[in-house]
Amino acid sequence: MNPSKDLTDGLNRLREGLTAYCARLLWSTGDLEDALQETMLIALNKHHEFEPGTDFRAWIYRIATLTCFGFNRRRKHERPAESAPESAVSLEEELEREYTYEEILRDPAGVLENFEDHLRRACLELNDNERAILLLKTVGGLTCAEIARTMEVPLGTAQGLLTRARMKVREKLSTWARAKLQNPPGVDT
Amino acid sequence: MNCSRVRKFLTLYLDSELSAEASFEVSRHLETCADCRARMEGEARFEAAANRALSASEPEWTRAWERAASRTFTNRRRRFIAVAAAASILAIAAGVAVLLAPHREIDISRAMTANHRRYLAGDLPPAVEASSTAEIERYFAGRLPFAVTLGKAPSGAALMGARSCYLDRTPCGHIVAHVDGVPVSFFLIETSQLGAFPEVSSRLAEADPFHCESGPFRVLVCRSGDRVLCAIGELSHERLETATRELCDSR
Repeated sequence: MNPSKDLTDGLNRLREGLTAYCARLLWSTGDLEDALQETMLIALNKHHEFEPGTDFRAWIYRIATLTCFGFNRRRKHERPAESAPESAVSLEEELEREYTYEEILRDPAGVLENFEDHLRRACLELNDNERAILLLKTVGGLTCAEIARTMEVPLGTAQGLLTRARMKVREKLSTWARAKLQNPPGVDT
Repeated sequence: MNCSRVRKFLTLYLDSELSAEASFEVSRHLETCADCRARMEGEARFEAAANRALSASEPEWTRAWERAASRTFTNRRRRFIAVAAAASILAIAAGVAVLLAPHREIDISRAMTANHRRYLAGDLPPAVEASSTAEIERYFAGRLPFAVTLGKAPSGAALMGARSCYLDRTPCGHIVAHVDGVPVSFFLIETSQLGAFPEVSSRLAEADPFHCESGPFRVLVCRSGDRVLCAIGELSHERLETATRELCDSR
């Protein structure tokens, strides 16, 4: 078998997910082509180290993740602000946010239609590890065990980070949605 | 398990990621709690909608993949075929090409032009801003598989910065300067990597430095020790050569 053909076949099977994953993990989609090429080159050069029968998807996503982290480091001055930990959310705010989230859950597709950009922004505001883990799950379709192998963390850590990332995204969306409900367009405040 | 604890685990439960024991506890609670069942159905709809939104691809991303794959794999196959072909035919073809069209576009100038255009469009900013060659040398140390030793900033030029990158699949250092106010890209490649650019090797055997053109840009390629330095910009051949010599003259 031609190892290069094995690799191109493997890459082509993951093409859509891997491209979307890198595009969403990078701070600048202007780096996408270079990041994809670097991922492919590293995979090509290290393909002899890959053991057939082991998890190709986790292997290639790990290379892509480290490559994208490298590109992001080069653009650290352009980095979007990470969400600051919320230190003092009042009980009232918490309840309001929970109430808004319940509203979102009634028709998530309809809400996300209007808040798609907010969802992507909320994702970008996660820290690198949380964003990578969330995207490995949602875009890459990896299981938590595969995510743990990809990120080289224990399974419990991967599950914890995934839960925290999802919670942060939901909190952001609820906050934005609540602000929009309180100040609908065209209403003077 | 109470409602609050069950809700914390709902997304992992939906992913079938909980341990058998925790999963059993959650299912048992869901059997008797209509509120949590409704919440779970909402979470499932939310996850599906969020996955669709985050997975949605854009046409430019597809093109980026195709270009990256072509630069990585197709060029590699082409080089393999070229090596397999008769070397004498290649040499004759290269010689004839040089004699007939000394200024025509060649393999490396196409790759340089693509990178330079992307710099001009703001798509590929320098990874490090630098105003001296010493800063650039420090940046490249450890980032490139070869050592970079530079001369001084060309007279009349302002250094803008540098980044490590690939020309086709060859690692190189990309330095950007504005010479007489005109953006110029300089690319440093290890001579041993020139196999990736057979046209350059044959042209350098004829003349060092040599010039060619690519669209509106002038291109210069020369050897400097065991490196090859290439420059591209909208300057005269003479000005490009002076600037390149100053930048690579490390004496």
